Amino acid sequence: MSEPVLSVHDVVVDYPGRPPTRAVDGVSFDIHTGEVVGLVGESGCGKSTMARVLTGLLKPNAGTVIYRGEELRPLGLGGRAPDSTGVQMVFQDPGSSLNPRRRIGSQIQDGLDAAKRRLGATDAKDRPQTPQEWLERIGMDPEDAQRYPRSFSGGQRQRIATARALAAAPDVLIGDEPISSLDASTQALIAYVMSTLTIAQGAGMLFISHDLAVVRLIADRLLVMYKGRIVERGPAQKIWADPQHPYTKALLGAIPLPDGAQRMPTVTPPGTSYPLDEIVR
Amino acid sequence: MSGELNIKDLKLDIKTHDEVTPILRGVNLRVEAGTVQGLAGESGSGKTMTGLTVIGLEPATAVTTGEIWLGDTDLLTITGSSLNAIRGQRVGMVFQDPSTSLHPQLSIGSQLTDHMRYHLKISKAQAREKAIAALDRVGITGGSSALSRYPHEYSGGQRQRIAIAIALACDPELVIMDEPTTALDVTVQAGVLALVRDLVDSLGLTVLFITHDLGVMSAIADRVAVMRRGAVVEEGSCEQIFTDPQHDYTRSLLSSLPGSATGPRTRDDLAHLAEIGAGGES
Ligand SMILES: Nc1ncnc2c1ncn2[C@@H]1O[C@H](COP(=O)(O)OP(=O)(O)OP(=O)(O)O)[C@@H](O)[C@H]1O
Ligand SMILES: Nc1ncnc2c1ncn2[C@@H]1O[C@H](COP(=O)(O)OP(=O)(O)O)[C@@H](O)[C@H]1O
Ligand SMILES: [Mg+2]
Ligand SMILES: [Mg+2]
Repeated sequence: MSEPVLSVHDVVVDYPGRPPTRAVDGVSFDIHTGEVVGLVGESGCGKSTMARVLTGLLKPNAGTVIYRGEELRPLGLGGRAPDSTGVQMVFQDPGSSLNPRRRIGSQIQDGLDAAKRRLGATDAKDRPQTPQEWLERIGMDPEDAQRYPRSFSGGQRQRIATARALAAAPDVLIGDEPISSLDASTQALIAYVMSTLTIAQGAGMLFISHDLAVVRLIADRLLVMYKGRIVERGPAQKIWADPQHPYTKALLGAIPLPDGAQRMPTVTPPGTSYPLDEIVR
Repeated sequence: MSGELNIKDLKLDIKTHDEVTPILRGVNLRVEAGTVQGLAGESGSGKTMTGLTVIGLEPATAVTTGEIWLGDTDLLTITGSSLNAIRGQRVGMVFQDPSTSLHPQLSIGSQLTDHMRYHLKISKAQAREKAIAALDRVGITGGSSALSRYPHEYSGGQRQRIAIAIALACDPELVIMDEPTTALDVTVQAGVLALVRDLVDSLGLTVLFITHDLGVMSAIADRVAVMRRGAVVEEGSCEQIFTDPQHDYTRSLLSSLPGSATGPRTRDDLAHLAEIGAGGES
């Protein structure tokens, strides 16, 4: 395989406190161009912390993040280091990805400006070059550029947030639970649209979610996170069909499927803990 | 029969000084005692409002007509202190966010015992004994030391169990649960669902279970009603709704849902769905 565009080595993050919380405990993985990597695990396992490290918002206590062959510089006092706009993020709540008081056209323009600053003349010209073209690309009306975020549905807002992020011509798009606040009926579709747009732009994607049923449909590879560690990794369909780690088994067994069979999900006793060894498929 | 809920042509309008907004446009739903009735439907369709009206907690600006029979009492005709007696005693409620049901500054014990002493007119000692049993029933052990703890000392799943214990404390016939597992992790959710099923089967409780999550619905509901724009548009057994939906809205909902009989199973299925513009998003 080609060189990864983003590569994480033994990252450790502690949040201060007495005692400190170890949110990420020695995590390594790669993201390649044109692939969707799913990061799944339950609340508090360290997913968002990992996302903040990758976007340079948080400096890890140990380990490195290599972006395009160089160590990622965390956010300095003067704002984000110019090269880190190559890693873009879409959040769970479309409200926190988009500014409610600005027209969506000008927010997409911010992304285009960031691409221009970073890439200058080397920017590929086959990408949409105006907010209107971006809106068409995501299946919306170019006239929508004049409207404010509140007049769109949750799913539309996540598309707009994706367009703004992709307009910055990132190499990697990170979605931190980007579909969790959407209606169940639109979650899988928006996840699909986000991932195909990302791949079409030649970027890679880290898709963070606790919803394995959706992630396995759009991700090529899966990372299963538990207590700050990756406990299982491999092809998404393979893990879904045949989980190996006891934690992955519990997680999959607990997902109730909408099949009308009145089948109770498997209950694990509260306080159950699982081994932290990693299984690579 | 006690515990049977029968909602007949329930209409609810919100009246402000210059406007009347219809919210419920004639809800009809009969729930057999000792079963879990699921209530699904798109956001804003009136699920929560239906549940709140049953327990008499609809907004002050609401005007209601119709009938809500619990056993042989029409709850809509009851007002004032008789309503307070029914609310919390014959009907309990559990909300999505346990912090809505639990007071952060009161111990678990006083929240449970105040509630029981008010409704059941029992002594403090009797209430404490009953409170310990109520917690035990939802899997919160520790006896009297559990009573002296505060909500923040428990995890999200435990807090939801405590909220269920409070809703059940006065042995209600009916409990309304509005998205009770939405804020929980899937593994914790599995435990709460098993608890609800166990309580229904062992106590003969009737539950109106509101959820967006059709996976959860499929696991817990005996029968499912689907609401749209203030009315029930489809009702049937769990199996029938999921395998042979009749209403277009139910059909389109299921066809975009991973894991359902007609839902996407592969990436290509999703590509196809995106092409035909399913899911009501454009
Ligand atoms: N306190 C209130 N005052 C006025 N209107 C309200 C109030 N609460 C809800 N509504 C309106 O009543 C309608 C039904 O709301 P309800 O909360 O019952 O929906 P729901 O089906 O529970 O939706 P969701 O799935 O999003 O929880 C909506 O149009 C809503 O805006
Ligand atoms: N700003 C913070 N300060 C202190 N602890 C935090 C902070 N953010 C997260 N944590 C803790 O770090 C752990 C991982 O959190 P997070 O990365 O948000 O998990 P996830 O996104 O998987 O739910 C949790 O124990 C959480 O309580
Ligand atoms: Mg998170
Ligand atoms: Mg509601």
